Amino acid sequence: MISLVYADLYRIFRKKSFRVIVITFMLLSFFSNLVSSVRHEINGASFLDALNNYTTKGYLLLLISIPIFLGVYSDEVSSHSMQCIIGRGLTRKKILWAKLIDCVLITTIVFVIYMGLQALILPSSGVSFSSKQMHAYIAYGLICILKIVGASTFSMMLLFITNAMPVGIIGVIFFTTLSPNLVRLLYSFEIKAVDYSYDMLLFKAMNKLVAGAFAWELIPCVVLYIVGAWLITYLFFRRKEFDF
Amino acid sequence: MSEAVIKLENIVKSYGKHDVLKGVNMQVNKGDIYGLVGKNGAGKTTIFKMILGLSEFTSGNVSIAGSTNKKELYANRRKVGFFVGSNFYGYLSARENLQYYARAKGIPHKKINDEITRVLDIVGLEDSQKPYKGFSLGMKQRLGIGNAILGNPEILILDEPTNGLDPQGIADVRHMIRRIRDELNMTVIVSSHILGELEHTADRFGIVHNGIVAKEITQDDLKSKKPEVNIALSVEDIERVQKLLAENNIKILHEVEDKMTLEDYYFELIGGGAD
Repeated sequence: MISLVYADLYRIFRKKSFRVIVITFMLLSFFSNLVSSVRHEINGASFLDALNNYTTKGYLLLLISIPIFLGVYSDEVSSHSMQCIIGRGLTRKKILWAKLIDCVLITTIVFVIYMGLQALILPSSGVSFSSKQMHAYIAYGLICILKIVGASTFSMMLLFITNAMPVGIIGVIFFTTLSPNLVRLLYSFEIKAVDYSYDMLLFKAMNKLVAGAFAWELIPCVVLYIVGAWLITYLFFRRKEFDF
Repeated sequence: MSEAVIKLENIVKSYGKHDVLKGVNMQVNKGDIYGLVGKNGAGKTTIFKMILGLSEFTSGNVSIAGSTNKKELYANRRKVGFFVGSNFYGYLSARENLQYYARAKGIPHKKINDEITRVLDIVGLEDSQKPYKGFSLGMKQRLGIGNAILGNPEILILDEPTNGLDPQGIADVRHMIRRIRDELNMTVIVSSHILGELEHTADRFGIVHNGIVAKEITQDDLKSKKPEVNIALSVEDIERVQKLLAENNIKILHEVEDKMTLEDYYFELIGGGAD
């Protein structure tokens, strides 16, 4: 399984379009945050406000969610390489675990690079963080990673159940951008059920983390939603008939 | 007695009420080039899917390298390399695609480059740099076979490897299969719906018809079905030979006016061919 993760990471980072989109995402995100904060007084707090807005709404996250989803899941289905891996003796359970690990690792690598570079460049743009603000900055990064991993995992479930790539991509668009806004809309109508949705739990966790508190909401996000989606996918995937 | 490396016993595969395989029995022995022949839809590909674990059988037993136990089957599938069509990433080159599979198969990091160079040399793609999406069909088939032999598996499964190839491509693949068996000591199972195609390549045959392996035969069985001696003569010799045979009381069973095969003619005209 580790071998497959290693092979996947190498393959995805070799994909030219992936690298181009990652760089575009990093530049767009950085300048978008900077421009938003320039509207007010440019400092750590205004930059974090911009980051908060961008994390919550998720429009820019879509730019990076799609290539991650395509690289980890969709290319695998369209190239039929999964058949080769199964035929060479790797169990389906291990393949699905490897895919989830791929997704977590790639998203984390992209965000560590992005947040790290941004933190290095920001002081020269007049933005400096206090230690508390730096804590919040890292929290936003963690929430972004969980948003993308969640959206990709839920979309993986749709992709493997339907075996249709467009359904998976529509899933990514929905779970990255439409769902958070839908949840906010439903919340404004005081529909209590949305309190337990993935997006609302992440939103609450983000606020707690930014304030420096323990965010228990992260536990159901990972255990219930991400692992739950993985288990549902596995139930369909374990007896799936593969065509050559 | 020959050692069975793959054995299927009473394999049934049903989709609802429709039985695709109706009790397949077949045995592939170590060192065989086993030809699985049958028309399109006879069940050849389904048999391969059962062996490779890409589809579950309804009943029966599959044995790979002597084991039928589910866990051991997974482990023993690592001894199987297979070509079942295009399984590559369009944006990667031949070498990069093989690097992906070499890593996924757990080939030690230090050996990967040497192994890929060896494989690309065997399939004749050592100079190819362009991405897979720009490959011709023949190159794709060759890379598929290269991936199948990556890591030197003991058993090689090739599902219609000559599909869509031109005569030279077919001859190349045929030559490559023999070379793989003879030089790499692999057991090869190869399927085709073109009978003449496998007759040149395999030494044992399983004839798939209506969801069963109707008969398993060898090259020797084929020869024994034709006890006569066939002598090819040019037109000018016929009368003289007929006269000679009659003088020596040798009976002619039948005379067949044979013609050159299109394949023979093609290779005579343009050159090439594997033999």
